[in-house]
Amino acid sequence: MTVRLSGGAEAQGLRCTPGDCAEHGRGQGRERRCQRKAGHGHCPGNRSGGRGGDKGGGERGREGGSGSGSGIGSGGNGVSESQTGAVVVAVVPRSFRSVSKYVAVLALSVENAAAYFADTLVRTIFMAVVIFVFVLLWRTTYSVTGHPTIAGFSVAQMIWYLVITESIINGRVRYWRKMDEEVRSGQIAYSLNKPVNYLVFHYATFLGESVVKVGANLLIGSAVALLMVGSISVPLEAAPFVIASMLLGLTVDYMTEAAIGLLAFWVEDTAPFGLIYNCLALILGGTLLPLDLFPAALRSVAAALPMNQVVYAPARMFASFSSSQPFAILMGQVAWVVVMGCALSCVFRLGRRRLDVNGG
Amino acid sequence: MSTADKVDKVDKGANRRRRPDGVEGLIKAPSSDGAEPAKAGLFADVRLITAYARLNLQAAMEYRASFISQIFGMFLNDGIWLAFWWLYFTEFPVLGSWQREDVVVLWAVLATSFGVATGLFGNALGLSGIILRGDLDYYLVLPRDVLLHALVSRMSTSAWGDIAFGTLVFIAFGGATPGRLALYMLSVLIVAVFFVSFFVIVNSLAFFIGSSQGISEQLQMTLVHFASYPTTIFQGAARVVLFTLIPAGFISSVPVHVLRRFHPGFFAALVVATLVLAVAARAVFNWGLRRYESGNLVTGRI
Repeated sequence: MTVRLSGGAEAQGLRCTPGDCAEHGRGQGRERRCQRKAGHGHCPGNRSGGRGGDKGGGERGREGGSGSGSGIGSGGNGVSESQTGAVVVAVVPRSFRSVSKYVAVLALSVENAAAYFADTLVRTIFMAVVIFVFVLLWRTTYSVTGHPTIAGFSVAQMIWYLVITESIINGRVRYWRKMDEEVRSGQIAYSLNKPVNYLVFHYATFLGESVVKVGANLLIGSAVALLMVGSISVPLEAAPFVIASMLLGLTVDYMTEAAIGLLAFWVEDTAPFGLIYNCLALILGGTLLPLDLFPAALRSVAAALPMNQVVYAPARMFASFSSSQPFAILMGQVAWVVVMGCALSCVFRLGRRRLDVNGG
Repeated sequence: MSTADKVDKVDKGANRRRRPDGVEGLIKAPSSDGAEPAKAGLFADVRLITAYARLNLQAAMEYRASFISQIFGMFLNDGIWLAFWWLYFTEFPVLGSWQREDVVVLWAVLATSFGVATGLFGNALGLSGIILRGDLDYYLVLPRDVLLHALVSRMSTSAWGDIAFGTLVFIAFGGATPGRLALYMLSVLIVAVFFVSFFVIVNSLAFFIGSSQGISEQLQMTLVHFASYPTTIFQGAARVVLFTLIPAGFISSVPVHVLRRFHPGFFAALVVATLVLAVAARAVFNWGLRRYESGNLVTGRI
């Protein structure tokens, strides 16, 4: 399949999925050998692999797969050395190759999501309606109260805050559904056999798709905000902090949602957990209303939860940036990434023990 | 091949199809000798709607966990917005002439009527897909009103969550005296017809412009979204749009102009607008149906 895709289908412009990329990596063995052009050009598993199933179990066991080492990577996966005579010794450190594998998955996920960007934009036009109504609501509110600022936000800052929160919340991929489906359908057994870390692989897929969708929402939302309330003053040096904050927020979201989806190892339907999390993200995450407008007791509760790191933190940073705040916000997000990462890892390890694979 | 030929072709297999017992007698196709006359009339239509509602509910209850989960999910979804407005009115007690109680009643009416609309007429939201896929063939060969039959043959399971949420909220927070309850139920029925009529019109675009699912979906969501905010925030051109192109203003005015203080003028306008929309929906659908071409897709429902 791999070689045919490389020589035929891919040459004709056909796309592959991140899953296909992981398939190509099956034969990646212990030896640092590289089979050039044996498969997808953008798939690192193929760049360094291609040795077939005889050595396939090593990296699988090491990277958190099932560890079965059953030689699922067949000889047909790669092209033998004698066929090409182009074996080179990899000079790239293994850890870097490991990271580059996920970077390739991320890039492929972005490419797939952006393939129909115009269609994505059309589907996010509703974002314009959402922001339009928020502008009307908050203009009326500011007019009724007679205050130029509310909780430190001018009307323009409030709208831009909502553009960021709505873009993130509508653009992120609801990943608990995918995880839940993988576990309930048994597809996870096949995913675990691939020479990638299951959770990191899905993180790269999630991030790639979410970045494109959040970007589309940002485009539409920003256009409406610019037209209706104009721009706000944001210093240029805020850009890397805001982007980092958004990425960290998405990471926290992925870890929480993936952990919820993996609960399918224990419960029949994880939808209620996913829905509750979504509700908490919308209300206590500050999506619809900044936490600054909450009653004090509720604000304390919201501040103690990870949901506010997903939307409130980056949106607040963008809407009212000050040079003293970004490091504290980012450190708070990093702390939640660590906490949720540990939680996700525990859920995954415990759930994997409950996986029974019978036959193939 | 003309549409009539295609319909005839599908019709030959239609009599052999098994249908759920509850609707068998109601939608039975006429036999070749014409011994089974088509049933028609308001009473028969009501029987068809109730029969489908009962069967769809039974089908949904087969997957009880999923059914409960969807109701719970919709309950939460509606609850989020109520929480948002609760927080909002805690900070800003008055928005124009609107207060917290008005928004609560608005959400009660909105959720219940949307639930009734998509619960009884579950295909209203996805009618454009049915048209595009050529699935109208199935309804064309049966001696029932095509539009009504297509609309009622599916139920949105989560609609029960909307109905439960709206009703509970109104009883708990809406000051439910017998008079208000009667007005509330009447308003819900009118707004439900309003919703279905609007959905039929926007989905009928598929007859004229082909792949219109994206546009139809956006327009449907826009109506519901506009209807969920106090009318007082819409001023100038936005207010004109609210009572014409996207007529959500008729829905969102119900709490203030019908339930808080009954304005006969507004209520009459609401009834007239609903009737106009319903007649327009029927006309647009029938107009589009004349342009309908099957995709030669022979389908069967078991």
